Amino acid sequence: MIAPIALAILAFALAWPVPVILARAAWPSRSPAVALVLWQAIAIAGGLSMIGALLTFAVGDDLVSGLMGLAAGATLDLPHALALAAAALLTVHLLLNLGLTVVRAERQRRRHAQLVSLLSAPMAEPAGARLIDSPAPVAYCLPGAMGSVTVVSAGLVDLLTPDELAAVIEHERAHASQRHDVVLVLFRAWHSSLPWFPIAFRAQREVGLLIEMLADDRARRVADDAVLARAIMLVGAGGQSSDDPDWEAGPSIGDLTARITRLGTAPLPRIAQAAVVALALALLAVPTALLLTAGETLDSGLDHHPRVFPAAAVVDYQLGGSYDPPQGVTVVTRDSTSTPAAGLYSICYVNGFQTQPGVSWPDSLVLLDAAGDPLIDANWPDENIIDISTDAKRQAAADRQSAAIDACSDSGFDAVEFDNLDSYSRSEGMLGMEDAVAFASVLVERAHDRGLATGQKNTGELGTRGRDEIGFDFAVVEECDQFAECDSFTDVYGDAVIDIEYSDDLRRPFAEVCADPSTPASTTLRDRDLVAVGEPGYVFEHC
Amino acid sequence: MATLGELERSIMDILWASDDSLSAYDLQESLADRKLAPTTILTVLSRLEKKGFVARSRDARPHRYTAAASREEHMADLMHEVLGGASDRTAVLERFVGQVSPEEAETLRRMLAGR
Repeated sequence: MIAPIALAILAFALAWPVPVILARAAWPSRSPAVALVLWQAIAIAGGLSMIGALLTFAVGDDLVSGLMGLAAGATLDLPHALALAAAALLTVHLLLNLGLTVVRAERQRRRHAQLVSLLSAPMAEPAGARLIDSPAPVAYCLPGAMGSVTVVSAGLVDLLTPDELAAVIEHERAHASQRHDVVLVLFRAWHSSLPWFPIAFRAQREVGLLIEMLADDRARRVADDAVLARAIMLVGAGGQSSDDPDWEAGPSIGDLTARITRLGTAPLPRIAQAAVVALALALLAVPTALLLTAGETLDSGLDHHPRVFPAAAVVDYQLGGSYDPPQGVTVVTRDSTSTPAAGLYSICYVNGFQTQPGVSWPDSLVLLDAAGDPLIDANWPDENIIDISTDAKRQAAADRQSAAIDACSDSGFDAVEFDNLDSYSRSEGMLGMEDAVAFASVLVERAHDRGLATGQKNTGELGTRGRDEIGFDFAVVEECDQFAECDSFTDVYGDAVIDIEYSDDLRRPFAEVCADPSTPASTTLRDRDLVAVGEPGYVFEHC
Repeated sequence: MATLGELERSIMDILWASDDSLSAYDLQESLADRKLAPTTILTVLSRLEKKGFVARSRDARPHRYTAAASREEHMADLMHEVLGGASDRTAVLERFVGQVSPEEAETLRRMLAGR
């Protein structure tokens, strides 16, 4: 939950206090270019973190794998689904407004350019400008990809001296050559996306003013400050009185004053300018990094962390066939080819260390005896022991087992148990405990990556290594009372131990087993064949 | 491109100045010093018609043309867009135009005088 909260805080800061502070600050007028960079960064980072907060809340800290999990068919509960819908709507809304703003501006510009070309005549001096026969003192620049036009009105030519006019025209050319229309478009779109949001309007105004200042700086190359100040004042104040109620974006007295008074200030020192640009880059980097690399684990499940095994559970062990669990059961173990029990903590059975009957593995990945035939485990004659003696073999075997792990995760199991962890003890010396630890570590990592908790199966000899080195979250033991070894599991996993005793091989009555304080709380009695309910021999009791 | 724009402007100027509708030949005569082919003028006229600046009457042969709106109307449109009214004005223009109240202007003048 770190990424959505961090992104939400960032989105809030960039939506309200940061723009207000920046709009009030005095330094931007000294170096409008770097201030504009910062404004752009605030707008983009603000949008990114707003969408990112919703998105990461909806699908988990790790966006990429969360979305992959969604694509793989995972489902969301209502609040998360709403957040996802809001993120999608906001994204579409912002992009649509940006597109509309650009298209509308282009259409309007083209129409305006046609009118200008019919109504104005080229000026002899300065070259490239056009004179329009209107008494209002007006100069503006019509941007365009094919080249821009500076339009000057007859009223302006009458009003200004030639050097003031030169300053105004240089100012307009700066707008054109520096493509200030492109700089503005993002803020215009932002404002039109969020018309009820006062900060968006304020940001657009501030950016508009900074752009004027940037163009003023260019005009200072051809005119001294006094001439430029007069031109700013005359043009700004010389228009007809503003009786148009729609007129809102015209320069206010404050804007004109700011443009004139800043002419007497020095630009920010280079080091301060560099700091502002660095800050802008950091603003962009933070939400991007949070979005892409957030989350310490790389789960593709929607539950970022596997669900914790419920202690003191009532467990049913349904490997011989799935059926509706008896009343009171809270944990069910089923085969990876089955489906989880609705509403219960469901553990997926994967034969991690031996081949499943009927599934053929290449000879290179199973243990062979001296004659070159697969080594037969007397207890399980139709299963072969997987050869996990080298890193390469472990990787290849894990790749094959990943299909089962994926199936467990995709069908919604909460956890997985990898059976026959102790196969090394039946390998006639070909495998050691280190091989089992190494292979189990690979399997557990892959299961965790898919949002599954993992259970250690039997193998009390591991001691604490199962938990501490391999990373198992709980233990599933068969007949620890029969073999009097329950302590070696409860000492490591505490309450998170499932014990299955079999009814054909109890060393004492089940009631006595349950009464023994060293028996795990989650102990269940089943028939050895684990048949489904209703079939002959079915046994189910629990402590 | 620029010359085509200038030709459009010349033709519009003639149409705006004329009280009557004009044919392409009338226009060719008015622009005789440019030595234009009639097809050139017809091409420009159909472009102007497509843009909505020129109206064509098909009753007579040859077709006769008038300006769709007066020069003053177009100018008023343009100035309206530049000086306000069009809500998305800044989309089109980066302006050095101003609209401040007389009181504000007076403050500015005083400030500048004090510099």
